[in-house]
Amino acid sequence: MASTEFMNKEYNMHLDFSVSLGPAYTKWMKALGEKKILANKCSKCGRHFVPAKPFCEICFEPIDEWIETDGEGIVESFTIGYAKFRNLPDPPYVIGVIRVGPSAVSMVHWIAGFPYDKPEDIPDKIQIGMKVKPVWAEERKGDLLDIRYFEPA
Amino acid sequence: MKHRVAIISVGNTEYTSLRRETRSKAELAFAAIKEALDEVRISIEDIDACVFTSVDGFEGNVRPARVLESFGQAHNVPLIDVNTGGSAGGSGVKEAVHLISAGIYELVLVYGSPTFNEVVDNQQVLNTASPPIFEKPFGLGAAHMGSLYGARYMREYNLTARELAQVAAKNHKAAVSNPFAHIRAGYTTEEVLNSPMVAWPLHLYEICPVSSGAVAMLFASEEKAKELCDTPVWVEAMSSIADTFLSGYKVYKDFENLKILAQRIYKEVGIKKPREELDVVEIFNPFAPFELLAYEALGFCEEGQGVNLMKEGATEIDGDIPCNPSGGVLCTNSGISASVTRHAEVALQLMGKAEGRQVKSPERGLAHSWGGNDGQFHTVAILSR
Repeated sequence: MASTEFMNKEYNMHLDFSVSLGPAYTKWMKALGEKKILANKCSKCGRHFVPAKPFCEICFEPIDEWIETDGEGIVESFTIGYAKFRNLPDPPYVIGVIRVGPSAVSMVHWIAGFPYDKPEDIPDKIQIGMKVKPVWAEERKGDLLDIRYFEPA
Repeated sequence: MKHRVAIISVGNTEYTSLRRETRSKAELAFAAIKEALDEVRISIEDIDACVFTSVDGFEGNVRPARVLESFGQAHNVPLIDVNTGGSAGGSGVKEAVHLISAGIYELVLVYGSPTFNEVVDNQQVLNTASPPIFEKPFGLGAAHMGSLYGARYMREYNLTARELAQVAAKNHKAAVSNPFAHIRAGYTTEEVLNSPMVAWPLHLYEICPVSSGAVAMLFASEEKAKELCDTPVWVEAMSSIADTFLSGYKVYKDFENLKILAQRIYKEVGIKKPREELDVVEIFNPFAPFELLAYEALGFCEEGQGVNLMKEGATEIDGDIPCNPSGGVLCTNSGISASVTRHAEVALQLMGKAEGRQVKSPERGLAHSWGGNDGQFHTVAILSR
């Protein structure tokens, strides 16, 4: 007969990493520290990218044309986190897929800075297709979190 | 394919929740594999190779295959480790198919690992699949990734919350009759709508559970299949597709790359009207919207018409294109086991062995898997009797 007794044993992994960004991502991240959202452009297909890309994955050529955008974006999709998970933000929080300036692709960031009474009202406050603009952090270090969040423009 | 490839057996364990799980990972692997071997009366030393599929790092162990002894290690059986995120089960099946169709091996075991059966909080672990510098800090778990598709798709085609809940209820109803489903409560549309909102627009019952349980499948050459099995299921075609890693690069209103893959594979096997030419389908649907996105990408209906196809009853077990008669991933998600299971379910249907959930006399079926960060990969297999 199989035993009806069983045990669980707990363990975890705390691991640290450091990643080299390379020149394209470095330039893009450093500009965030100066409250600028840059785009770069593939000179072959003409597509712009925010976040910048080191090379165009379609044309398979390096990218070296850069422009500064006005930072405004369009919400392409979003979700609202209503449940608490370990190591994830406290709910409610809105994760947006945001297409900035002339970019052909989007970036992921929070959408916040709009008034609401109850958490369940949030879906009515944000629409796909709405314009958003960045709200900058006081202290910046060349990181995506130099943008605190995007707010309705 | 150069040589014909058959599925000759499936080994399934019961599925439960992590909190109720009393079996060890090694025991789950042993049980599923033993059943697959016993079904065709062979021993572990008879297999030529084993393909292990999971997601590296999700099991609290970066190489789980190495610590289990269920894959013929005692008999020096080659062990091949395949990982393409959630679609790893499809990719593992594809690997087995290639090895046999190329004439390299005659008997290959595919094992779908219960990827999540150590996690304390699954969304915490799934968040580690997000691009670490660009996306992980914003708190994307798998539920949120599924919701990004749901939000955009609902907006694009004016799908209501009730209609989305109906998709979930369809799967919950089907799972009641599947002895290998984890959640068999048969939640109704009302119960889905009244379940807690986890990641808007998805309620708890529109999101897969975290399950524990495992599946094994045996693949064979034509000669071996005819020797060992009375009901072989033939692999007509199997293929996969890949695109970008970043969630921000996706558009979310459709499964664009699945559409390309489906067209490629239909052309290969000469399918012109998939809704008429397929008898049973298993879609990788951990989130309710995925089922509608897949109906459309797989060409069962026009874009935006998935909900009407469902409302007609076409995709029910007795409809003309039954989809997920098992209840799908939405009711049972044991990690990569779930993407192998899509193939196992279609194979059992074609063998006439889908106890409780059998579609009437299917001749040809399709198995789909989805995975990688927010759908970087899809796989499609066409199987027939």
